[in-house]
Amino acid sequence: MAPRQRVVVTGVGAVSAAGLGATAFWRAAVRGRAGLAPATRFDLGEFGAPRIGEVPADVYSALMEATGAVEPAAAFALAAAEEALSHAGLDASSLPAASGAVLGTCLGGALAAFDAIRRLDETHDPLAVSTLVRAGALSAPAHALAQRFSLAGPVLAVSSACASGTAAIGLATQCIRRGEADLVLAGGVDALSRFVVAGFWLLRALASQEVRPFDRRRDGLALGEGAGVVVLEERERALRRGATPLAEVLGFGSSGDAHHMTGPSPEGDGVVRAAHAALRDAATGSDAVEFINAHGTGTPFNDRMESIAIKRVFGARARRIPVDSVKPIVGHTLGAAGALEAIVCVGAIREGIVPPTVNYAEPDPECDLDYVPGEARALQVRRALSLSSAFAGSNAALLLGAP
Amino acid sequence: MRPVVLDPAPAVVAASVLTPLGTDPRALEPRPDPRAHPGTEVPVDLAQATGEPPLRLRRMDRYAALGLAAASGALRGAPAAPAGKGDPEWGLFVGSSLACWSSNARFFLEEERRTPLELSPALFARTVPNAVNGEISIAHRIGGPSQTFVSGWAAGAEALAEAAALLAAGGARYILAGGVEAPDDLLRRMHGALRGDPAQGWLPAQIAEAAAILVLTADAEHAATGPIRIRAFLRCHDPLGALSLARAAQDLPLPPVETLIVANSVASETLERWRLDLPGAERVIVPAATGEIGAAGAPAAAALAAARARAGRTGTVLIVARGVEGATLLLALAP
Repeated sequence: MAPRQRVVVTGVGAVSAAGLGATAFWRAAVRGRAGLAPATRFDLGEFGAPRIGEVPADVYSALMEATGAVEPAAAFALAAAEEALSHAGLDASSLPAASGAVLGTCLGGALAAFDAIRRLDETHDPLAVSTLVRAGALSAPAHALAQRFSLAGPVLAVSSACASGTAAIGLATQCIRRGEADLVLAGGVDALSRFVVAGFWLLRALASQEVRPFDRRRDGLALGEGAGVVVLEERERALRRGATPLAEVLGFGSSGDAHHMTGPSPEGDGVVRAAHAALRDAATGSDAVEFINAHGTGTPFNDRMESIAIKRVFGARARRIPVDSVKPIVGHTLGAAGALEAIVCVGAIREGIVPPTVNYAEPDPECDLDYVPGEARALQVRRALSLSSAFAGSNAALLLGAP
Repeated sequence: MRPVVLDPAPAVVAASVLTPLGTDPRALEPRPDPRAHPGTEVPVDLAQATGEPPLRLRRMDRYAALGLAAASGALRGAPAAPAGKGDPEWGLFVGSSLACWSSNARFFLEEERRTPLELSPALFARTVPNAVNGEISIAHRIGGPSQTFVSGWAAGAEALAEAAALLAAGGARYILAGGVEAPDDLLRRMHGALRGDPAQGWLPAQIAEAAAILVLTADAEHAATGPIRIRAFLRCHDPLGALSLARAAQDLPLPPVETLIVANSVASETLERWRLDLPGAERVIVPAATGEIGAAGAPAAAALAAARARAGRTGTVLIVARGVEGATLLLALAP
């Protein structure tokens, strides 16, 4: 194998409940401005009308029209990728030949697939159904990027449920490290639907009111949607073209809980293994980490488990490391979550600010870390760890550092 | 495209294949006499193949059960086994094009037709593509790196390539890697609708179910027991991908190409259209034997390559996998 290359983030892009753009998302996170509200695109009355993190209606309409996408996941991914490329100072029409995409998702183009299922019994227009089937594939958003940006390198779609976005950035990093690609668009995407809300409602995982990660009163999560995409480049090549690296991807690790299909390992075994793997991959110890972006869904089990896992990885230092969750800002965006949270880590490293965990007010004896209550905090962050956990016991951890 | 040459090259030390032809990878061998269509279902008792209690097996969908059956079969033939709860030295990489979509479609239709209280939370829990990783890791205590690839029909080849690269980089000691497809009637109807597009009319009429899982390792002690190793891979995303990759692979520092195994009908179509000729190389077309088996095609082909190598074949085997949307991957294996 070729010597390991260094990989840097040179651009970021986002679509979320905070609106269009990574800047809108980051500002909402720093200001602690929650973007959750009752649904507008579908009726969720049967499920208690939960507050969700929908992409704002005007942004949604504009993206569907501008991208010409058949369903929203591809539209979100395309918009986030366009922004990330622009942010990186790259002309989307002239990317290096060895450019690829790795996109994580839970459901891919599911809304188109659902539409195709509805129309199967009335196939007056076979071409229309065929179009929906293609757009409905799990890999459809990744292939939409490949097609739009004429990517000729590796194009992968990965699906580790809610750890998908983190996994995608990690796998993309490995592609560049081994010299297979010079540039990879990496991130995650998912769009909301009744399907998802019904499922989490059935599992009694939805918050009854506010989402309160790590707070004693927490009782569930709020769902969201969107996309996060980062431009990853081989460091020397990025510097040669005059790009400004925003952060370096130092390490990535993943794991399986080997415990339960929907519940996390109570002692955080899988998260501990993923975090250790990321630190090992970066050839660094836990002492280097100065900020942790937690999965922090707001469910009783996840937040307790994650707090235990952080203490197991960082020992006595755990209580001195700021830990935040941005889920109250944009909701749990499933396949996009890890990618949006990597963008939070990039922002913390770039701007020396750690966003607060919104709605955290009453400490829980089982969640006894520094969750950055109240307001954002100024802090020089040279190493940030992002953690993700998922159904079926998948976990992923990404270590980002100052470039 | 840039080849990834693996050093150390991970070996295939065990394999399990479930196709409509049964469990013997040599059933994929070309035959002079065209046989009757083998059907689209795997003729295997999954309770026996998985060793799982009926109650636990009933909680899985066909996708997870087929994957678990193949993983269990591969581990039975492996020179080592996961130890403890969540062994971090063992990883699990699975690829699938359709993944859990039978369960997704069922949940979608139930949600449309029933009241919320009539819906099944257990069914929703199956609607993540990595459900197969969850079931396998729980059953076999696998706690190391875990990924699920859903890049269309090339996804099983992606799982093998990414697993091999991680092993070569020292990221795990063993990885179970392969592909699973479990189409049901509704998904077959959707596939039929896809063929309704004149541009896709060449697609095969049916997608069959299948699972193929290999045990890979670069560990010096156990790799020596494997008959064949994954030496390199190349991938790209372009209309002529299979052709470009097969040509580029001939420049790899490997023994002469003895066999070209085409894992999917879409790869076969590209190669035929452009008349790729690898002098002296036998061509094996997996879907000609099994019908289209999607992401399970490349791992099944790798199992066939391992069986042939165990029988004394020494040349390089190229496996080409390609999805409908253009993602193409070529694996180069040699003893």
